[in-house]
Parts: sequence; structure tokens; C-alpha cells
Amino acid sequence: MQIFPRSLNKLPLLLGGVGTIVPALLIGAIWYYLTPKNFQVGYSPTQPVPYSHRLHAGQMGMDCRYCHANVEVSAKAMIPPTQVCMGCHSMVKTDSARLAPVRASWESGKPIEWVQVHKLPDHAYFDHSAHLAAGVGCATCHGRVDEMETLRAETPLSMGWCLDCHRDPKPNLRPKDQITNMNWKPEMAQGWTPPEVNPPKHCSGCHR
Amino acid sequence: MSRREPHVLPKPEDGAKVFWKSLGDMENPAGAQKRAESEESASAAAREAQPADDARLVRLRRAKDQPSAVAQEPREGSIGRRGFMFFAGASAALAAEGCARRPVEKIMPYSKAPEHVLPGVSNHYATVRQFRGEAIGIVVESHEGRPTKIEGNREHPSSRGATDLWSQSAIFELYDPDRSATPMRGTRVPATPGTSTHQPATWNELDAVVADIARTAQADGGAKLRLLVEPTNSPTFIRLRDALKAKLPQAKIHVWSSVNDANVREGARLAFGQAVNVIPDYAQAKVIVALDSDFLGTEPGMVRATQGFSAGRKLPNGATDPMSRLYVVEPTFTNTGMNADHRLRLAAQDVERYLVALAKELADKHAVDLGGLAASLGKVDTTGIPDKWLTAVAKELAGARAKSILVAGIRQPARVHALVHALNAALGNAGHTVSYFPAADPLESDEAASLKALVADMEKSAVGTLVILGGNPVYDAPADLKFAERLRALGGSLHLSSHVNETSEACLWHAPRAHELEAWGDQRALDGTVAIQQPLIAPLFSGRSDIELLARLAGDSAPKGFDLVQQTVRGSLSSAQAMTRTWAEALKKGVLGPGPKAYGPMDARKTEVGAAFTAAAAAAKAGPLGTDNLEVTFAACPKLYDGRYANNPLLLELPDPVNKVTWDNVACISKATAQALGVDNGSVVRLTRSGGQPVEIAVWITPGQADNSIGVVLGWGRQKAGRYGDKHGFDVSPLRTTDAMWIATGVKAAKLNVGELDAIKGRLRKVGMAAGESPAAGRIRPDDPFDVDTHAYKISQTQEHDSMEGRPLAIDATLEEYKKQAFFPYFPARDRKDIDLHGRTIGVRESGSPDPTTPPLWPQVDYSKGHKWGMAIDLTSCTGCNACVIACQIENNVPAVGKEQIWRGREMYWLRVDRYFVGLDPNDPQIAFQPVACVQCEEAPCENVCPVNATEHSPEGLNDMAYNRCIGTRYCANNCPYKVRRFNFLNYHTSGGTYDDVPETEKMHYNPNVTVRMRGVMEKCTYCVQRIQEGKIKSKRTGEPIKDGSIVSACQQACPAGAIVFGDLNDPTSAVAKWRAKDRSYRLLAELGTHPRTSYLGKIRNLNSEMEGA
Repeated sequence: MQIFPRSLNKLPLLLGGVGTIVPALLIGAIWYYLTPKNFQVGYSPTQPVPYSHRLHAGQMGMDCRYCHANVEVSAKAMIPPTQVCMGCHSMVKTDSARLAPVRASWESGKPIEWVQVHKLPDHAYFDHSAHLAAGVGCATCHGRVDEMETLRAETPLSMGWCLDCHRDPKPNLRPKDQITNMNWKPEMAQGWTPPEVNPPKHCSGCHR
Repeated sequence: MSRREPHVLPKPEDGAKVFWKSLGDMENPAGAQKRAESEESASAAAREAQPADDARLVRLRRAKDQPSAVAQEPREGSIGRRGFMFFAGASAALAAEGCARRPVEKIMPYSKAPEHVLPGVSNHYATVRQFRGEAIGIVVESHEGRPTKIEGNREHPSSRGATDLWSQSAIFELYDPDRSATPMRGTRVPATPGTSTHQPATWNELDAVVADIARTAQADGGAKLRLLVEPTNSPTFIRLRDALKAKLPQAKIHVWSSVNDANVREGARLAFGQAVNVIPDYAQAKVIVALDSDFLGTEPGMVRATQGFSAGRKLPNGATDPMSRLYVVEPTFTNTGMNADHRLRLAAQDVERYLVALAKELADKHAVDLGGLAASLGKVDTTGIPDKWLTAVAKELAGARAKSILVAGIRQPARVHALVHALNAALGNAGHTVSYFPAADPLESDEAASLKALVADMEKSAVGTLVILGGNPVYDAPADLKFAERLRALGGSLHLSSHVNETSEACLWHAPRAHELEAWGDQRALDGTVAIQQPLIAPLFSGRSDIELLARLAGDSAPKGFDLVQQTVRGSLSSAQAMTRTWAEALKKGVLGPGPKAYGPMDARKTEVGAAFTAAAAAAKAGPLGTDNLEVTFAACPKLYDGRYANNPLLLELPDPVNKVTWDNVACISKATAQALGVDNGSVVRLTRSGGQPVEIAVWITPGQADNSIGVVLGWGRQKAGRYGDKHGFDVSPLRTTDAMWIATGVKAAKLNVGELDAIKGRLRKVGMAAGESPAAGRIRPDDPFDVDTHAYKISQTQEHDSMEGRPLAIDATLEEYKKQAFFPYFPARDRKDIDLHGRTIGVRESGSPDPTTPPLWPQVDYSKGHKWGMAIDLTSCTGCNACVIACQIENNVPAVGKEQIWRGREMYWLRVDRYFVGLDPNDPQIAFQPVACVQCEEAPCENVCPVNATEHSPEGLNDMAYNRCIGTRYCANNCPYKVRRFNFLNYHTSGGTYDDVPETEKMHYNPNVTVRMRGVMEKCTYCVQRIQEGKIKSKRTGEPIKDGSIVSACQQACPAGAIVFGDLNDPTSAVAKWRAKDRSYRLLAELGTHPRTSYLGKIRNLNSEMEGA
């Protein structure tokens, strides 16, 4: 006796096909999309002050270290205190509405609440000064900041991405006087040999 | 898997040495093995039981009692299968959502950046801490204005770069969430019944009250004003106090501290006619005789003494170097007694007898000139004192003139101190090994007498207002004074204190006191060196300092601590420029300038000292001790001191150096006395004596305890200490009276019955611990401090934890043996038979290298390039003071876990100090200390068994731990032969809940460079990898190679004995490489093939052959 219709004969095949392809697609999608590469890169939140790196670092050519003054000596590059902003803006653009939060912070003593763009997990102990000492340029991790109107994350900052460079640092090194040069390209240092920097590849290099 | 059977201890042969961790361990090693295993099973049971939650424990108990009920109705709060699937799905979805975008985080830079503060770079400030009459120079690490770690100041003479455990733990006290935040106004009767008698007030109100007190006092010359202060060594405090005295001649200033040096001071006055600070130079001594003195523990100047003592025993060039010899006579094991080469256990009241007999021996047989004093020392009864302890010790002392030190402890009466001074002078030690410095406060009086005079005035209603600056006299005043009653009857009282404690509750006003790291001040060390105490942070809880309040009482309207200290310094200087220069230099170096010169060799006034002994002999009436005439000796707690640190969980949990008891104090009692009284470990006894109030306390049978003498420590059983300290341990101060401040005789002890135990339950903390020997049995009573079956008090102690199964661990030898066989840790079996508890001969190994010849099955790593970090620990130097343990906890964010978790064997110490009893006599064992942290095996057994590669090797040989990879299988801990891996069974930084529960101020004490570990993660010593990385990054930045000694681990930094060195083994000139190459160096359990990076230097005892059998 025929209980199931003949058309169901293809069902096992269909189930086999769908049962493989759908989970594979799902896994593939999660694998690709739910990664720092996809989620971290391009993060560009609105900041309390519409500060333009393009204007300051690009058009005016200010050195990164004018504001991020700690970067060579500390683990933290440091977001500048309001004081640094007011060093110029007490004389320049003193009545700009866009700078109102800066003036308010200067008068009240309360910090400006910048939104963090480049985030590392709390258990990763990154040190800016070590990377600068080795000859890693700002743009290598932060991208062409001098071309950004609003700061955005350019790199995934994932552990795999870190390790790619730690395993083979030479392509990402540059002469130490070119660290903050946003326009630097490897071709500009003909004849320069990157030093042996021996970055840590073991757990306690970054996790303590 | 084959099951290991514990071996039975055979009868040891002659001359054999036995190591044991506890009395139970010695008598029954198999039992110890079982107990160790039951710890493991306890944790298995605990996994089921989720012991953090007492309510759940009760539920589990009910469930075990009624299995059928469980099957029928689902337990409260449980969810079914469908519910589980629902929540699992929902949480997976939420988790995925959470991954998509991390929460927005803000960066808040300074508005106006303070000078010298760089985010991410710590600052270091030199300041000073006062402890026990000594000032310890410290350097405090501060992260963006938040002090996180205290280290020693190399420039300061009493620190020389090291600290004690109290300095290490002071960071926690700064952030103690229970510190009082506002002034409090009290009433005698609450406004409405049942409410608190104390209500918050404002500083303005309090200032008005103080101004009013000052005004009233001004009117009558202070006739009705009394001050009760703590002994001080602050020049500013003394200056202001004298100014107040001059201004208010009628006012009286009394001094009280429950742990005080009254006997020491009186002894100096008796001998020299003036109070002096005695500083022995232990490094120069050949023979040291300590009479009931804990100079390596709780006596003043412990850091300085420990440094000197270990310097005299370092044997830098091997067995040919001179080494000092320490004789100790004491009733209860102290840190000093545990480091003795020869120790005589003698009741505290008999120590005087011993000293007199020794003095007579010296005078009669060795021509030590005591002048007329010798005649005044009457005939001495030498019962209980072995002859050799007189003849051999006297011979040694006489043979080491100007090279010996006699020292007496604070418990001994003044005449004992005076006789010690006379002997030091007669032996030529004065000026050579013993120096005398002017006392900080020459007017300081006897604390007990001073408090007695105050109480007498209070009784006569001669006191209008009593201002108490610090201290806690309601808790610790002698019982016969009835101080609390009198204080409650006063019309005006004010207490300046860090906490609202027992005394604050009895006063009408309370003012918060600033911590030492919050206030300006100055402190004078024993040798007279003055240092400025500079604040690291503005008062977190709006506190004020003693000197500020004192100045206000003198009529100053708004004194600032800074100005007061500056005025003191300015007073000693000629010009304003000198002031600016001196001040800046003092703050930078942490030392204001050299102190006054030492007095020359001082001779004791023999007639006066002799008269004191004649008078004492006439008044003597003490009968022989017995079970109905027991002696109780009081001592400062080696952890909580006099109770002022009672709310510090790190100190509460720290295992006692002798008993390894945590979270409690116990009455130490000898085995014979325990048998005579019919008590056992954990039995609660009531101690009674005429004059004092009865005291109930749990007993602990302690090896090395004098018979018929009970050793107790002060500082426990606080009822108003705070959330951590309340109701832990037993308060023994009611037994103390003004005539028996340290040694109380005529004490009777009676074991409490069950009914009486119920009566004292209210004073004790309820602890959810399992009953009996096997916590896994499930007989859990969370609401009872006593065991269900035996009615013994539950005591959590760690002495049998982390057993290494009787393998050769703390290897020791006498100096003679060392001379004969320099490589003794490798060849001990040639000259003597060493056996472990299981009867196996220990220490027989291949010549030269203890490593097995078979290589492991995997390729070995070449560590000869780059850095090869290693550590070496000298067991001869280690005095077991525990400073390293606390330093490690503070540096590495290691939490305290609580009494119940310790009971389950879950302490979190990355570095522990193992204490072994050595010898076959349970009454008179020797002691060996061994600090054990992760030894960073090159062939680490833990790494091979980790299924997720959470523990891995670095190319420099560090055994790294990646917390975020760890899934908590605990295979690694199981496979670690050193038992140094610690597992976070619970979120120990919280009180069982989430991190939101952690009080805000407590969060501030974390080291920002070390991860705060959560539940389910394994952790262990990292060799302070954050410091290694900091050093390496600095070297990369500056291009300068890492110098030996520039990277210092936290334990090494804190150690006053210099017993720990850390560095690069690939650098042959490094200290650690040199120590590792020493003849007496050995590596712990190296025969297993682990290739440990930590090596130990075997312990050397300098025994006197003439003392054999004594």
C-alpha cells in the first residue's frame, strides 16, 4: 500500500542538501559577519565635539604628538586634556558654537566625554610606547587619520590581526623619525633595513 | 589508575630527621593523607552544593534528608527542561546581539591636567608610616592619583627598601569601605527606642563643638579637659601637645595603647636614668639571646632587626663565613622563636629566673663584672631550666664579648630589661652591637598607669570633656578600670577614629580620622631620623588628622596639617631658603635629615637595678604553675596587632605564622596541659582569674608551647570593627588587668559544655562549614560556629593544605654538616638518614644534578638566548614574617576568600609560606619555613594536561596563564606537584554576587596592570609578569639593556630578610644566577624532571655542639 505520495521520494535528498547548505551558509555568515573585521572596522560614532582630524592633522599639518603627548612614554596615547584645546582656542575661533562644549569643560572643570573608537578588551595590555619604539607608525593601526573628518576605526584590532604583525613585523616598520608621518610609504625608505624587533608572540606579552 | 596507598611511618633510626606539618600529621601520616584527599572531595561536594549561598545549603540539606520530596516537587527556583531551552535560546540570541557592537565607552581626559601625572604611567612618592614606635620610610605607587602599592624606601634607615606586612596591607585600610564618612553626634538614650544613638552631623557642627571645648578650657586653664592619645613619635604632635600643655596648664594628657613599651621604657629609666631607644645591630652579633622577645615579629623596629639578623646569617661565601647563633627563651612560638638555633620553652614568668641564673653564672664563672648588682641577685631556683642552658650559653656569651646581644621582650618586667642593659654593658656590647638613641618623647609615661589616673579623675568627676585621639580603649582597656562605664557617664566626649568603633559608640561625638596616606604629618624613627609624611590622596572620607584636631583644641581656628608640619620643620632651620631647599629635599628623598647621634656606650646604674631585684624578691609570691594555677601570656597579634587592623580581610585571612590558623585567634596550649585539662583542638575553654573578667576562647594544641602556660593574642573578637572584622575570633582583653598587662598567673581553665557554648554563640560569626572530618558528608549547619558532632569550634587553618605528600622539600642542615658536605641538599643520606613521613629515604640523588637523565617525549626548548627569568629563595634568611604574602596579594589583585572557603581548601595565595616542624619531639620541634610560589617549570606538568592551551610557555621560560582561555577544568591544578595553582570557585572579589557589589572605594585598590580574575578561572604566580613587561618595554624605549636588580618581583621587594632574588639566569653576573650556582642550592622536586626556575638555598642551623640534649 502506498502511504506517502511519490513526490516525497525526493525528500531525503532535499533534506540532505538543505540540511548541509543552510547550516553551512549560516556558519559562513556568522564566521564572516560577526567578526571585528566586520564590526570594528568602520565604527565612527558621533563625538560630543565635532573635532576634525582632517583639519588639524591634515590641512594644518599638526604632529600627532602635539595633542597625544604621552604616546612615546606611556601605554596610553592619551586623549588631550581640555587645556590643550584651549591652548589655541582661547585665541582662535573663540566664539564658535561647535567649540561650546570645550569652553564649558574648561570653565566647569568637568571632562569632555569622548566616545572611545579604538577599543581593546580589558585583558589585553597594549602599550603605545613599545610600538613607537619599535618603529610602528601611527597610520599602520589607525589609518589615514589626517583624511578623516570624523574619526573612524580602520583596522579590526583583533588578536589574530595583532599576531599577523607580531609574527612578521618588518613590512609594518618604518624609520623612527617617520612614525607620525601620515604620507609615509615603504618606497620612501630605500636602503633602510628594518631592525630586528622581536615582538612577543606568547600570552604574557599582552595578557597579565 | 592505581591507587596510592599511604605508607606507615616506621620507627625512625637514630639521628633521623622528620618533617611534619601538624601534630595530626606527625602522629598519623596516613590520616594526613586522607585529610588532604578529603579536601579534594570537599571541593567536589562543594561544586554540587554551591556553598556561596547559605540558603541553598540549607535546601541541599533538606533535600538529602528527604529524597522522595525532591523527586515529586520541583525545588523552589528550579526550571524545567522547556524553561531551560527557552532561556538557553534567548541568552544565545542576546549573546550574539551583544557581540555585534560592544557597549559605548567614554574616555574622560582631565580638563586641566595636573602636573607630573601621565595617564598610564605610575608616580612614586616617598612618605612614612608609623608602626609600633618606629617610622618606616615608604615609597607609594600611585596611578592617576590613586595609591595602589606600598614599597620600602631605600633612603630611609629603618626601611632600606623593605617593609613589613602591615605596610603592605595599609593600602586596603585606606580604601576600607567601612571607614566613617561623617562626624557623628551621639546621645545617651536614643530619640526613639530601638534606633541608633548616633546620628550623622556636619563638620561645621563638630568644629563648633571643638571650638567650644577650646573656649571653655581657656577659661579655667583646662581644669576639666582631658586628652587621651596614643603613644607618638611625631615631632609636630609633640610640639603641639607641649604648646597645648603650656596654654592650658590644668589640662592633662593621658596616653594609652594596649600594646605598649612601658616595660621597656621603665627598664631603660631604671638602668640609665632616662628613656632611650635601644637599637641592636644583629648583623654584627655572633651570639644573640632573646628573652621572651619577638624582635623579628611584633616588637618595634622589626624591619631593621630582620635585615640585620638575616645579614648575620647569609653565609655569602659558603660554610667558612661567620654565622650568628640565636638562643630564644619563650613560652609560645613567635617568629623569633621559630628562627632560633636553640629554643627553650619556658613559662613567661620563669624567664626572669632564667636571666638571673644566667647573670649569676656569668658573674661567678666567667668574671663578667656586674659590680654590686651580682650580690643583689638572690639565690635562684633553676627548676625547669636545663643546666646546659646556663653553662653553655654563659660560655658562649663570655666568649663573644662585644659581639653578643641580649634582648628582652615587652612582656618582661622593667627590672629584666634593666638587667639586660647591665649585662650588655658588662659584656662590652654597648656601643658595639647595641646602640642607644634619645627617645622621641622623653616625657612618655607608663600607659596603664596613665589610663588608671584618667579613670580615677573620671570617678572623681574631675573630667568635664574627654577628647580621645585614635585608639579604642573601650575595647582594649584593662578590665579592672571599667573604662567603658566611666566613659559613658561623662558629660562630654569626642573620639577621633577611622571607624565608628566600640569607643566611638560610647562617646558623644565622633570625628572621622584621616588615613596616613591622606594627611600631612611627620614621624621620627627609633634612631631619630625624621621623615615627612606626605599625603597621596585627598581624604576619601573627609577625615582630619590628629595634629589638626590637636591644634584646634589649642585654639587655632582652621589649622592645616601642611602648615603645622612646616612650622615644626622651620623651627629647626635658620633661613627661609634653607626651608625651601630642605623641604623639597625631604619630600623627594623621604628623609628630612640625619637624626641625632647615638649615645656612647652607656653603663647601667647597678645599685638601682640591684635594688629593684631585691625589692621584687621580697614581694615575690608566685607559686609554681599547675593546671589550677595557669599562666596566660598576652601578645600583640602577628596579624591584627592590637585590633586596629581588624577590618582588613587580607590580614584576617593571613595564616598565623605558627598555627596557620585563619580568620580566628586561638589559645595556644601544650599537649601535656591539654591532656591534663581534658581539652582538644577547637574545645572552648573559659579562662578565669581574680580581678579579671572571664574569657572564652578555643584552644589549639601547639608544639613548642610551655606547659601550664597559655598563649593568647590581642586584637580579635571585635564587635564593631566593620563588615569583615566583626565577630571573628575571641576577645581576650577582659582577662587583662593593670597589674597583669602581659602575664597573668593564677588562671583557671574549664571546658565549656554545650549549654554554655550556646550562650556565647551570639558573639561569634556564623559560618557555613561542614562538620567532622569529611566535609563531603553533607552534614551542613550554616548557622553554627560549632561542629555539630564534636561541639568543637570550627577553625579554618591551612597547615595541612597543599601537602606535597612527604617528599623532600625544606632541606636543612647544621653548620657543621654544611662544612663537611657543602652540597648537602643533594647528598644528605651519606652522613645522616633523612626520611619522610612515609618512611622513604629522602635526598639520595645523582651527583651534581638532581634532574632525571631521561628527556621528555617532546622536543626541548633552548632557553640559552634572550632572558631566562628565575628566582632563588634562601631558606636560611627567611624568617616567615609573611610580608611577601601580603605584597603578592596587593600587587596581583589576589582576593581574600573567607573562613568557609579556607575550610574547603580554597585559599587563593599565589605565594604561601609553608611551615614545617622538624624533629621527633612534638613539644620541642625546630621550624623550617619555605615560601612556595609557582616555580615556573621548564617542563611544566600543568601545560601538558590543559585541553584549551590556557597555560603555555613563553620563550623566556615563564609559564603563562591566559585567563580568557581558561574553561576551568582544573586538570592543571591536579597535575601540579607544587600545589601552587589556585582556582576561582566563586567571584571572590565580590561577596558572592556581581562586581557591582564591590564597594566603590575597594575597587580603587586594584593594580590596573593585572587582570581581576572572575569565577571559573585558574590562576597562579606569574613572577610578576607585569613588572617584567614594564622593565622590558622601558628597555626597548630607552635602548638600555635590563640591569640586574631593575626588575624586582613584589615578594622580593617587600622581603626585609633579603631572602628572595629575581633576575635573568642567562646573565652569569646576576644575583639569581650566583645564588643558583651556590653549593647549598637545590630545586624543589627537581627529581620529577620539571626543571623548575625557582631554586632554594638549603636552611642552615648554627647549632652549638655543647647544647646537645638540652
